[in-house]
Amino acid sequence: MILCEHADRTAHIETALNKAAPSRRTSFVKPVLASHSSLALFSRLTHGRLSPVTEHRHCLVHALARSKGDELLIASVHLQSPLHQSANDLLLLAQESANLIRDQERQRGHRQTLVVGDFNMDPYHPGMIASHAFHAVMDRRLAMEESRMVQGLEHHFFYNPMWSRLGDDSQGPPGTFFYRKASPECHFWHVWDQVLVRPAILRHFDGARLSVIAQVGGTSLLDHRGRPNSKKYSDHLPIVFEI
Amino acid sequence: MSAATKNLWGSIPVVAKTKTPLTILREQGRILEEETGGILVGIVTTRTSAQGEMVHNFYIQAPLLGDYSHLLLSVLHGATMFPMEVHFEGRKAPAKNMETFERLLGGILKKPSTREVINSLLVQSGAL
Repeated sequence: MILCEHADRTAHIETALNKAAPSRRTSFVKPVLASHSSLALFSRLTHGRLSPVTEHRHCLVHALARSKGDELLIASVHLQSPLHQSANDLLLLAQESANLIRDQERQRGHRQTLVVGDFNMDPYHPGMIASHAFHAVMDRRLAMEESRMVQGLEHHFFYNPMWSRLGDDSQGPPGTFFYRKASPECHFWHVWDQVLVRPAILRHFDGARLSVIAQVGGTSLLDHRGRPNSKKYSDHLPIVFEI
Repeated sequence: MSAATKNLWGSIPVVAKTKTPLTILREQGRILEEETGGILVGIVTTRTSAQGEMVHNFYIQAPLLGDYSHLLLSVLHGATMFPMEVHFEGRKAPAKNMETFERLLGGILKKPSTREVINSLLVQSGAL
C-alpha cells in the first residue's frame, strides 16, 4: 500500500492496518535515509523481498524480489499540486522523476517497472505523455511496441490504464479527485492518482482488476454529491490494482 | 583543367585535452570508491533533456545495500558546457567556468548533509 501525504503518521497507520487485519502482519517500509518525502509504503511481504533502490523528495523506488535474479521495480510518486505550480513546473518535475526511474532501470539492467501514485496531473497532461517525461500511452498495443524514436533518441513507453477511468462511462466514479473553481477552464473531475506499467510486465496486468475505490466495506468514501468526502476521509479516492 | 582545392576552414586549432564536468564527476566517483574501500561508489548517468541540455546525474551507490543509490546532484549544460547549472537539494546554482564548477562541487561534497548521507550508508553497509 502506498500513501501520499501521510503526515508522519506511519506508526499510527501501521497499528491501524494490523488491528483491521491481524492475521497478516503489515509493516511500514522504512526509508534508508532520513526522508523529506510525503510518501509511505506499507507491505505484507516477508522481510527482504521489498528493498529501497532510491529515494527522492517526489519519488521512491523499491525493488520487489520475485524469483532468483528477477525483480520488479515499484516507483511511488507524489508530484506537487498544480494548485501551487505552473504547468511547466509540473512538466519539469515529471521529467525529473521519470529520469530518476530511467536511471534505476538502466543501472539494474531491466524495465520491469510500474509507477504508481498521486501525479497531480491528468493522463493527458504533457508531463504524463511527453517522451522525455513519463511517455505513458492509452493504448496497450502501442505500448507493446516498447519504444519510439523522437529526434534521434529512443524513448520507452509506459502503458497508462487510467485513461479508461475518466468520466461517467468509466468503471466507478468519474475521477479520483474533484476540484471546482470559478474560472473559464474547469475540469471538475481529475484522474491524478494513476498507475503506469512498462510493456515488459504488461502481460501480468489485467486492466479489469484496476479500480477507483468509492466504498470500503459498507462505508462510502463519497459525500452526498458523489464527490470524495474530504472532510471525513480524503480529497482523493484510492486506486487498487493487481499485478 | 582542375581547380586547386582551397581550404575554406582556415586553421582549425588543435584543442588541448581538457577536463569536462563529466570527467570531474567520474573522478570524484572513483575517489569515493577508493576512500571507502569500495563500500560506496559514485555513479554518473548522462542524458539529453527535452530542452536539448546535457544532464549528468551523480549518485552515491551502496553495493552492499542492493545497489541503493542516492541522487546527490545534477549538472545541466548545453553544447558549450558553460554556463551550466548545478542542482542540489532542490536548489540550483550557476557556474560560468570550470573554476566555479569545481568550487561548487567541492562545497557540495563537503557539506554536512552529504557527509550524513555517506555516514548513514556506510553504517547500514556494516562498514562503521
